[in-house]
This record gives sequence, C-alpha cells and structure tokens, in this order.
Amino acid sequence: MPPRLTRQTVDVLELFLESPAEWKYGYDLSRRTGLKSGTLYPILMRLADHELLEACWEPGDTGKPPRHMYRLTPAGLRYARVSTRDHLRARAQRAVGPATLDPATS
Amino acid sequence: MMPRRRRLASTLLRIVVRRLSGADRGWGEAMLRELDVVESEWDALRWAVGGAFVLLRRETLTDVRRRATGVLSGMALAAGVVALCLAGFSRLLALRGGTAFLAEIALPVAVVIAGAVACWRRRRFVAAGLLLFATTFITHVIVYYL
Repeated sequence: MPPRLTRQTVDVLELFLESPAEWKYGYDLSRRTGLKSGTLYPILMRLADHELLEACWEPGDTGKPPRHMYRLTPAGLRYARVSTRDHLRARAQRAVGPATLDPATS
Repeated sequence: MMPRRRRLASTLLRIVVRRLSGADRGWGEAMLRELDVVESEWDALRWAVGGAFVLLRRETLTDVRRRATGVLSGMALAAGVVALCLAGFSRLLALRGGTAFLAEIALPVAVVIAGAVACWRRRRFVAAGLLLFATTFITHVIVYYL
C-alpha cells in the first residue's frame, strides 16, 4: 500500500523531482519545503519504509562529520510523478469547482 | 565553545538516539548530524525537539505493534491447538464422557500452558497470548459446561 499522500508529502516529492539523480540533505529539504523536522522526517521514514526513498551516508572524506542523504528510488520516482500529477489535477478541479466541470450542468 | 541552546539541542537528541535500536537509530544519527548545519540556535533547538518527538513516537509505536503481534500470534496458535483437539478427538475417535473431556479440554489446555512455559523467556508476548487464550477457554468451559 502506498504511503498516505498529504500536501506536505507532495511538497517533498516535488522537490525530489526537481533533480531526481541528486542526493539531498535533510536540513536542505526542510528549508526548501518549510517543513519542520517533526513533519519532514516522518515523511522520509514512510517513503523509505515503502522503498520509495533510498538513504546513504555522505562519504567522510571532506573532513566534516558525514551527513545522511536521500533520493528517490526508481519506484519512488514513478510514484512521485503519478501522485504529484494527480494532486495537481485534484487541486485544479477544486479551484475550478465541480459545477463547471460537469457537462450536464454547463 | 558551543552555545547553550545548541548544546541543549544536541544533548536532547543524543539521549533519545542512545536508547533507539536498529534502523531508527540511523534516523536519529541523521537528525543529529543535520543539527551541525542548522543556522540559528533556536532553529537547532526546534529541530532537536521535533526530531526527538518523531523518534520517540516511532519507537513506541513499533514496540506496541511488536507486542500486539506477539500476543495475537500466541492466541492464534492456542486457538489452533484447541480446534485441532476438538475436531480431531471428537470426530475421528468418537470419544464420550470423561475421556472426551480429557482429550478435548484438558489436553489442549495442558499443551498450551506447556508451550507458554517453554517460550516464556525468549518470546514473552507469544507466551502471554497462549496464556490469555488458555484462561479464556477455561473460563468458557467452566461457565457453560460445568
């Protein structure tokens, strides 16, 4: 079963879709989505539990302590594309209103 | 020297991470590492509090789920033993009276209790499930048949 799709999850997925091959840091994700650690990490954990997100430690050759990095797996990319598209469509429908979209009433 | 609020944030998260196990510990370490790059002191504290809350909640839920799974599987196992004895002895051997009581009630209860004793040390919640079912079964027999 895919993870629960909230607006915050969609924000995170959209950010991953901007550059799918690139590894991203937790704090950078938090800053760019505006999500606090208490909201961001449950999303990352859920995605990782469903094998939609892969995580690894940064190579420790920079002299700084290694950081955890994240990117979507191929299954995660497919899921992100479909779910963000569906989410955008639903949002557009809500914005237009059901009466306008219903040919019987127009 | 590390400012006071950042030190507090780091200590808080470290205490929580130390009591985690397995994959959750990895997530805790990840949050701890990010703490070094959080810019403001207040943000660092908020980051640590939010992270600690997430980790503790996840750990608690995992623990509850593990215990519930253990108890339920113990109960299912006990139900299987009782069903096997009831179906097997009464239908196949066509036992009557005291022998039937021993074979259908006393034997499965003894097997379930022995199983609970055997796995008490290593699988305590499965054992608890076995005992819970045995108690319920005995109560049912006393109330309805004796």
